[in-house]
Amino acid sequence: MVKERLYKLSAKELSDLISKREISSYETVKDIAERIEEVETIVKSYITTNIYKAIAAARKIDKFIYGKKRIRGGKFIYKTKKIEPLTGIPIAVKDNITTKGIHTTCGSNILGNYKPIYDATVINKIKESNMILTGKTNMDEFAMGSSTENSSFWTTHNPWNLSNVPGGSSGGSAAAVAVGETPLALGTDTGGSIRQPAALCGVVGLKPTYGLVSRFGLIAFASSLDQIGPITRNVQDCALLLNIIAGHDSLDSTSVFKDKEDYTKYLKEDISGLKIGIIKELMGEGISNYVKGAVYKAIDIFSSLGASCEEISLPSLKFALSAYYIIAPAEASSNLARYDGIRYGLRAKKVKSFRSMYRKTRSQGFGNEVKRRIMLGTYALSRGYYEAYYLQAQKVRTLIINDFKKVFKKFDVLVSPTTPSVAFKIGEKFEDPLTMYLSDICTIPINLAGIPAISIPCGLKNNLPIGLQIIAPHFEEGLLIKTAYNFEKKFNFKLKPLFKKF
Amino acid sequence: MEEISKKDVKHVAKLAELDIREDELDKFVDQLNIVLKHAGRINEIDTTDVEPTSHVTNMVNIFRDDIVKKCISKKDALLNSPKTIEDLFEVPLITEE
Repeated sequence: MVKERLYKLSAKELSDLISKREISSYETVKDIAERIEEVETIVKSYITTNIYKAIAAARKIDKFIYGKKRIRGGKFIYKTKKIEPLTGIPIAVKDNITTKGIHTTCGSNILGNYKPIYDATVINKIKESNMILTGKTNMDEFAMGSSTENSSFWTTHNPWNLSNVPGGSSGGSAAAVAVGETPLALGTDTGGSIRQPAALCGVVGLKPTYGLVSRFGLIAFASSLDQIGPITRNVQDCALLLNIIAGHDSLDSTSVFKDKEDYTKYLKEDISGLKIGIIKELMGEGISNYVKGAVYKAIDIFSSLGASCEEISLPSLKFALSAYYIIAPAEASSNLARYDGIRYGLRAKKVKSFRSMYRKTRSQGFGNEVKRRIMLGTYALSRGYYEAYYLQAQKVRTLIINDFKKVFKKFDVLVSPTTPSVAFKIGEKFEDPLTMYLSDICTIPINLAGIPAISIPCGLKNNLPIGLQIIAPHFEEGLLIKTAYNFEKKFNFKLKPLFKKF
Repeated sequence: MEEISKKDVKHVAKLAELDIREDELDKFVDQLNIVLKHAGRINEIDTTDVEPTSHVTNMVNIFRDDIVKKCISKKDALLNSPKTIEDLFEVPLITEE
């Protein structure tokens, strides 16, 4: 019998085999490394791979797993009795999360040679959990984009169809998980950057509540919106990874004090009696009919599982995209002021004065989308425009938050499509920023409200995945896991087409 | 909302310390106008008596005791700088000619 390749297994399946000592972490990492070798030149998920260090780390973890000691009577037993979940499991990390001594570019030329001198808190957490970093994944520059085409290095290809985008900005993470270059990944989500690529690549992506996961070591884009979260092949893996990364961190002042939860306990609950609201504003104009069809089919599945589903309206949502494209660029224009060519990053050559060093460095280092957003944000914050744009956007944000609060009094969770269509062609929207922005129309309101949401596969169109978004109130990630897991079990979506040879 | 002009874009670029090439200017003006037109829709909604959002989970200020902890070394702090001299960051002349 030909042994099944390990890269096809979920993190949970790998973890069970490692716990039973049927496979080693080394074998797991080696098979992932082989898979990277097979597909990376075509899919291009990674900016930096970390294979040698990963293999060394796996061997070290295996020593811990397989280490024996002699007991009375001359017998040997394993020193380690209980192996924690995800011990020895590989994980890829988006390249805007700092990794000590490993290039962290944020997808930008301006940080092309940046090697952080510290690890982000989430990196410390995955290291403490004995997980293994496979590499840093490709992304739109500074997480600004929905296709990875804005990466300063290259575009990642959607493994389902290589001429299509994987989504973005965490497109590298989503593609790597989908194609088997890692079982798990971390992404970041400011306006949909975890959920949108997860939807387009047919994987599971969760944006946690604002403040649930520490952002210490995350290179800031829009600080009132950014969150780190898991990208995985199924809901169970998502719960396992969330268990590891969630929790208070004194190094991030926006991190919340909250007792640690075991999110896997929600995998055991059913959804009978659950009240589900279908967001009217995200099921109308601009959403493809086949996407709506897939969402309605998902609603039938929820109903068959005993949930009650009803359409509801959140009127302020139609202003969410507009408000976001003021708030996010405004915050970005401030956050990105730090790239000055002095302490880290690129410095333009042949500069005579301080000022020209700033100008040339930033003009050479940033790509066009980043420049657009910096200018947009600077404009929205400038004298005479601040009230009409920035202040008004923050007020609209309050109305959006209030709308969500109101509907959550009546419903446990809300559903919508994750994206208006399946993955688009590479190049199709590149020169048209607004059309590109519209691909995040369903995901953006969630960031503005700071609430959690998950995207799970709910269908295919032309062999490209469609994503279903499930939304919950603040800190109700458990509800998301429960709802998504019950759906996944019943729907039984298979990722088989992805594990192909190109 | 009024449209932004070439002059506005040049001004904003200057404020943001960006050089925009003359041949790129028209494209940026067009693209920014399209986005601003969409963003300007927020003024269609009545927000009288609505407080602007300052924090999404209603967190209040976080304070900690002012205790000196281990921090990064001078050597590490300079590690990523494109240009250093001894234990300082080196920069070009600050005064403009």
